[in-house]
Amino acid sequence: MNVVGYVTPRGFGLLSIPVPAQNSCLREFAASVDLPYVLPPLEHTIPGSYMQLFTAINMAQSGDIVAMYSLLMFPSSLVKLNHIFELAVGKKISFYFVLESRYIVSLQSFLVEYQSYEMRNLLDYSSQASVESIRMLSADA
Amino acid sequence: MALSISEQIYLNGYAIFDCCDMSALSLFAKVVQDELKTEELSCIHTFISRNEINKRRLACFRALNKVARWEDLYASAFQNALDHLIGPDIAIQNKLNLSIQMPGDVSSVLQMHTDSLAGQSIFELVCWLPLTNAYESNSMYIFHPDVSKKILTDLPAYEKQGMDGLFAEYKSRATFIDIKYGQVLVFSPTLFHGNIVNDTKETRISINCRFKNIFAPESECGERRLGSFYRLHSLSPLTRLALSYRDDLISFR
Repeated sequence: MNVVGYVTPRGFGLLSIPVPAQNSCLREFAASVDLPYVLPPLEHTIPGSYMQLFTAINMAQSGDIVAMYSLLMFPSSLVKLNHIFELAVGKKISFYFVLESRYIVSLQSFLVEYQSYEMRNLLDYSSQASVESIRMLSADA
Repeated sequence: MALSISEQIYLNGYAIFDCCDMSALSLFAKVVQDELKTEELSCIHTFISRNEINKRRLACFRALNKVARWEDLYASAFQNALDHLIGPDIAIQNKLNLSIQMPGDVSSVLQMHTDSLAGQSIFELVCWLPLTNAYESNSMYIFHPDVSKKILTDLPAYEKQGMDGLFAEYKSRATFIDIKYGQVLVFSPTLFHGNIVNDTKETRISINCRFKNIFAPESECGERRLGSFYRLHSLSPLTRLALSYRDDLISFR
């Protein structure tokens, strides 16, 4: 069993993490589970490309863990997600996301985790009350 | 008569009350006991060296976070506070943290800080679950909301001395939490708190994790937000109904 890393030079969510920092986190994760760390394919900068993610999945052997910094590094396209999890389930590999501290083995569990981000996006989109506006209301009361 | 959770929070910014789910507490304690191979958690310093403790702490941390449905168990230990202070729409921090303070261990001291200064929502509730009795210097200290506000205004003046300098100025006003196994502590992330070198004869072990209302404001950028730091834990029936409502699909054209 190995930990196969996957890193990206692109931003994800509101974060942009330098590749060496992503690599350090993945290396530390591999050490924490006492597994050898396989150097990660680096994703292309072209938006929407997940070619190197598929490279990592294809590199992984049965029982391996494909690890990356955040689940936001996955595609949002359901077609691509389906393809990824078909491959993963067939090869009996799992995914680990350092930021969210989660192992994921199925599309269903991925979508459950992704709900938190969807809710956050919804709240951002709805322009929820800010701390400053609540303070002003409190001062007026 | 004992003060209610809400009254304690209003007066002190923190509250101590009986654990709402002793079976959950026992399960978390058992995980750490199994990992450290002892039932006497307050005595682990008699057979674990200070050099070794962080490695052992990380092993316990991983074991705790592997517990099936740990989020539900942890929430049940604090259910009264969640009901009174957070409400039914709850987000939970995405991992449990573990603190081990052995006597004389300087490497585990966490300097005075507030969670809100680190970017966490000022509306979250920090939930602290001791697996041993905690008292005097083996416990954590906390500052009253009024003192915390004063410390906050003093931050710029102490920039060059750092937090240790600021703590030295205020340490006489720190309250060391006295809490027994079987009780829990909740406090506001806006309060300054930390710990000092444990000079008692017992080790303190505690777990901490945070909850917030999903709709309470959080940082607008960075990592300490829903998804990356908090995850959805529960939604009220009313929120579920609201989220399923789709007037955007109606068109009168």
